[in-house]
Amino acid sequence: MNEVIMNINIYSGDDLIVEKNVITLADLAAGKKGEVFSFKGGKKLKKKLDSLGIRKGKQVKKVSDMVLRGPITIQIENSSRIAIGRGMAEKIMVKVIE
Amino acid sequence: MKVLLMGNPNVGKSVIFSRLTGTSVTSSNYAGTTVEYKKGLFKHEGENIELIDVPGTYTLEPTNKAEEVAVEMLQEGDIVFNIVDATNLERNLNLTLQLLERDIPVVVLLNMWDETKHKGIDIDLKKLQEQLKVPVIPTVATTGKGLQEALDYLLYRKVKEFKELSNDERWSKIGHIINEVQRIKPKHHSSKELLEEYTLKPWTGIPIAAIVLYLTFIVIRFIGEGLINYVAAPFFEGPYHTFLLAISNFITEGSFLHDLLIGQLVNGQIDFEQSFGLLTTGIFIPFAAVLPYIISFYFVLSILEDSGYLPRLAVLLDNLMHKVGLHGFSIIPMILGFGCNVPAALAARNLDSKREQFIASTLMSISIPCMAQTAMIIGLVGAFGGIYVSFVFASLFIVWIIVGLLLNYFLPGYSSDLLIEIPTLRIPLIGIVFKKLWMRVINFLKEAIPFVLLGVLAVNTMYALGFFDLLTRVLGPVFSSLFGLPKEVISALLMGFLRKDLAMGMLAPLDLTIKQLVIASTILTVYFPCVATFIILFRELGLYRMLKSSGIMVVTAISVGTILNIGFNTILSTGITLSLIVIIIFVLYRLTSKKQQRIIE
Repeated sequence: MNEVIMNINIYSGDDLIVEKNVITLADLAAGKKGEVFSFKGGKKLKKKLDSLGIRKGKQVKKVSDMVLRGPITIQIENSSRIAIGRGMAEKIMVKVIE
Repeated sequence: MKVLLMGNPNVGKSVIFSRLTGTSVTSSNYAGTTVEYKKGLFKHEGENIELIDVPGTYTLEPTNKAEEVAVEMLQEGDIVFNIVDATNLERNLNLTLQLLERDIPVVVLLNMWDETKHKGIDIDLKKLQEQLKVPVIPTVATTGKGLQEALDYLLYRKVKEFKELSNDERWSKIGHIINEVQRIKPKHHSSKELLEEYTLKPWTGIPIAAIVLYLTFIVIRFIGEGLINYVAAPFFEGPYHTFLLAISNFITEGSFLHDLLIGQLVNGQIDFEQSFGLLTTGIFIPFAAVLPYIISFYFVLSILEDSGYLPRLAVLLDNLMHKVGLHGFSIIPMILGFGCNVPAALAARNLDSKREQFIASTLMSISIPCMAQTAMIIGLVGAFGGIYVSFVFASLFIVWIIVGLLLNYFLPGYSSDLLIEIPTLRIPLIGIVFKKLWMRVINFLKEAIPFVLLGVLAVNTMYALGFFDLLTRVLGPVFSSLFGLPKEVISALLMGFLRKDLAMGMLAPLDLTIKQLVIASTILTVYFPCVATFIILFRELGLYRMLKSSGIMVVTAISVGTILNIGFNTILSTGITLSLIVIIIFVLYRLTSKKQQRIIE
């Protein structure tokens, strides 16, 4: 399984901050850990995920990746397991924890 | 007094509800919505308490229909028992704090208290109580520990003034509370956690799912047949038969009333499968042939539900369900359909959109044989060998996929993404399982049986008026050339418009070849559901969408029947060859990919 590691450019005001090792949750390899970094979706998505305990700064571990672009399952640190459809997982950015 | 049980999903809320209430539990829809909730009554120190099991919610800022209902119910309660999962305190406190900000007294039940120790979680109860400023009671729902203590707080009426916080402020406050009250010792994976993960990983999860489903069907058949052979059959052949004979003798044979109530006597005897009277076949089929299977199906379903396995099945099948325009959780109406299509059609309304409801109802009606049909298919076709039963089911599955793909392609809209919590696996409590089973069976009797009886009445009337003869004469030649079936089968098929189980019974004495039996039973499943399901579909979908759905069913049935008729032998042999090839390729693929992984490492 090839893991896509890339840098993401974030503009905060006029400053360009480069954040290393930020990938989508969908790209995170099974068994690896990451820290939730940002969301590419709208407010509704953020609200839904927030209520399930998925929010910026939370550590998550990817438990499994269903074959053929199926949903992914994550274990939130000290919390529950959540299954997320692939489309949604592609909108969640995580910072890979080595 | 109204007590609201509120909390996140999967925190043991229903178990606490079951423990506190007796059998006087009713399940109903919240006014103007399709969201179901349970209500129960009990007496505590001479006072009547109404306990409401509010739909599980993560937040009071609703993100779906169930959560909207939860928020609205908040207006009606005198006090909230907020059930909190002690092993997942941080996320659960989000709802607790939101409740505390409202103008209603709250008592916190810290559930799954026993599990915190296994998980290395240490919660300082006193500090937590100080922080929340409301009573906090540790409970263990499965044993009932702490529940009596919680009832002492029924009259607790203090509303603490918590000022309303923004989302970020609330989370930072929760962070502060957690730091104060909770210590977690890092723990290694327990073997249970490993098993739980295996059920979610594709290469282990899929075989586990296959085994679980296989066992499910074995157990359903075992219990269902047991109930028929040792309970239903002795009753119907014994006292009930004597009772009917008395009636039959009282009203003259051949009279209209006799035809309606008892039907035709076969060799001067009442034959429960062939007499077709309201009191004979009309009562026998739903109660002696179908109900035992319904009971055993709901029993197994309740166990699956309470064990926490179903969401895992939803994850494994989500991808497949997306292809047909649904998502993982629509597997619930499909599974229900194997029991009886009526509750399945009702369950479809809980799906996210009208589009999903339409697709799920149509696919379920077309391809999912209910327990009555399955029993008949196994009885009729199975006599020629299990391979033919598999052939019928494989055909139905292929039809399910093809029709689903087409529906997904042609209907405007898209399917929503899956987002569900995967609960931990638990051993179901037998008492709770039986209580659930009881409620489900009662609901089934209330919802389905009246329609089944209505169906028999309609069939009998139409039969008496010669309506069936007319249809057979008009449609018979067309169908028999398309499907290669003799004319007698056609009237059985037409009967299937109204009663599939009976239609299968009508096929039995006809001496059909195996090819004809396979075709007939496949068509019977595919076109129109039974009259009970039909009425529910009309109620749930409305006239226009119900007609659309029925049109799809008829077209599918005609196509499938014709294709099977033309290519029966070819399809059978290619089917067997193809499945062998797929298995071989799969095994080879697994072997080589393992090798490759080793090389890379």
